[in-house]
Amino acid sequence: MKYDVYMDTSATPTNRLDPRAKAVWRIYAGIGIVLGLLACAGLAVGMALVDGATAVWLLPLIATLVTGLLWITALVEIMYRRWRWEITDVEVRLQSGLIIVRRTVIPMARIQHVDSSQGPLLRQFALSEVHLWTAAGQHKIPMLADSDAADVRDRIAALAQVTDDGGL
Amino acid sequence: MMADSSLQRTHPATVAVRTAQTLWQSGIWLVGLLVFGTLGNERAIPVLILAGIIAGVVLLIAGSRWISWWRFEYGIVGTDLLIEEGLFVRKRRTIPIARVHGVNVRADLFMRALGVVELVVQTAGGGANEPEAKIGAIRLDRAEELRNALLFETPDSVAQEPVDLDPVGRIGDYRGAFGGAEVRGHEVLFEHKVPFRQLLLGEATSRRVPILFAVVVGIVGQFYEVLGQQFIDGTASRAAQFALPALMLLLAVLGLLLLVVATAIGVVRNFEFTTRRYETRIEIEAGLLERRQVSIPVGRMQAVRIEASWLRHLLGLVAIEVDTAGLERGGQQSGQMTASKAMVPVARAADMTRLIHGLLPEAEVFPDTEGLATRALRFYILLPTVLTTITSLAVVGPLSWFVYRPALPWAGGLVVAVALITIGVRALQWRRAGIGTDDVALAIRSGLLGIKRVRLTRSRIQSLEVRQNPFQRRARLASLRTTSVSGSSRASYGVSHLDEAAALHIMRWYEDGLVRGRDISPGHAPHDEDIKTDLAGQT
Repeated sequence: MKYDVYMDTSATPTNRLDPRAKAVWRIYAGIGIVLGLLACAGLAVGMALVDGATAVWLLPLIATLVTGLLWITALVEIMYRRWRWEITDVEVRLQSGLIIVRRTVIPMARIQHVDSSQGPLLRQFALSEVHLWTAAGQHKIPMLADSDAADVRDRIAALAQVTDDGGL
Repeated sequence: MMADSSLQRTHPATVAVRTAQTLWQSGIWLVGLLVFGTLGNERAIPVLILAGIIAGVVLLIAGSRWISWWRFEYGIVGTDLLIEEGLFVRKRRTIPIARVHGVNVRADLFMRALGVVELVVQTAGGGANEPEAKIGAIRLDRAEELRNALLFETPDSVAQEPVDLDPVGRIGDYRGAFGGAEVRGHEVLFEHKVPFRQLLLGEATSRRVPILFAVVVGIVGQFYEVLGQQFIDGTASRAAQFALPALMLLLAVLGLLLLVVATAIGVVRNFEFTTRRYETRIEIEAGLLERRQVSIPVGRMQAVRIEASWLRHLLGLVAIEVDTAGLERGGQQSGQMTASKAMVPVARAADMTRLIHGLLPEAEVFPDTEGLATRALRFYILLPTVLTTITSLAVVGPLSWFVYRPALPWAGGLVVAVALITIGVRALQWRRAGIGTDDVALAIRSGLLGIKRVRLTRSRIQSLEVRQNPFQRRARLASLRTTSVSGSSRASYGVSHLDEAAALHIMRWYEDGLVRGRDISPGHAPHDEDIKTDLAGQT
């Protein structure tokens, strides 16, 4: 067999997430940093009480700050660029990943139901997540504009009305 | 309230059967046993009070079982199976006979002594609530009648007359199949019974043996903790009196004993394992003490696996197993009935083609699999070897350095051995791994010393994923994973470090099947053309 299709060049799903996704992910990272700093402060106080003053707590503090800043500056951007989705009449195609790129195909006929959800933060940004359920589990398209999410949900719901196409 | 004259109760023995089941499963007998064990202590509970408490619990359970028996009615009304149950909230279920996929029958030793069986009706619920309905216990002949009515819609044709036997006689009374006489138009197309010698050999080489071994080691470990240091020292000094050969012999005898026990458990469970192919389903009947009959609709089968552990591989034996959607819901009891995924628990490798041809001609062709590229070998070996080496170094290194220096060379040897074993294992896995497709199915091959082959029908794959990390990208490799359904959970099969182009080719193959699998009006499927041109470009 001879193949000449490669991961980089073959048809990647066309649609990106809503650009506001980056802001939300950055806020998530910010929350993570704050929690990490709190944990470090707790550690510092705890160690001071037990051990006298040591500077070991500086290590997790630095680690938290570095990873947090890395997320906010670079990784969120990479994740946004990686995340792609596309809905055709027969399938949903997703691509995601930061270091490991993951491309998934979900046949329309296998989708059992579809729903969308929105937490308080996403509501502030008018963003929603769409969940696709198959018999074997759930897939997610995160961070779509509310109107897009509704469209996607309705479109999949309409297309997925396909009966089972037989067994073995 | 909604009483229907054509509905009937199950056999009164149901109360006894269900009470016994509840007592057994809840482990109350264990508590009783433990409490009785403390008798003779000063603070022990007086025997009479204890007996009273136990009798009370038993009565309570029996009472609740009696109520549910009294309020449970079933029957066939027109073209539906009707079930009414519940004390305060009366629940009425209507199951159209056309939607019945299979009927499982089960009888443990106690039920067989009473001459009754339990029926589980599988409906086309799939992922819906309660895909199963349990009816029982009912008399064997009634069960056969009901089963035939549900499966063949011929209620009056086949029930065999109940034979008046004493309990011991009833236990031996299989009357062939639970299914009774054959129904016209629904003949058995193929039948295979596992010969006793093969079953014996198969069970002796099954996974049950190492599992039982692990369980026994675990229990013995627990005992040691309970018994304390003194006992261990005592045993050790006593053991030291024996010569080494004697100890080895003792261990060998113990191992042999475990092997015999594990084999016996397997043989009892799979005794006279018979697989029958009907037009639309496969029926499995097996068991010496608990006799069970399970039907698997072919339409619900998701994947077929042919497996041989290294021992079986050496002996030329294989097992044929299937993944089936939605047949493992509904509590432990029905789980026990349907969890059996083995279609043929053991068969000679030479017979396999004939067996699959007879039992599942739909899946008899396994696509040819192609092995992995040579450059994938270093991905198989490098990282796992580094990881296991570091781990073994971290465990053994400090121990030998700080605790017992003279052992240092040994520790070094151990680390090297672990690394070499990992390399060997991973190289074998690389050699075994393979994947291939044909028009309708995907085959994945894997294994170490043994071999496992899976055949997934394209239309049964729930989703397909290709992953690639930066190192794989540089080497133009990717990992592929399929997701399908097994029981009520997911099953996942895949190959790591596959040629990138081959992985994407399989993804295309999958997408192509989706396009061909449906009628789409022209103009609505722009993607259709995309795929066709891409595929044309490849050939």
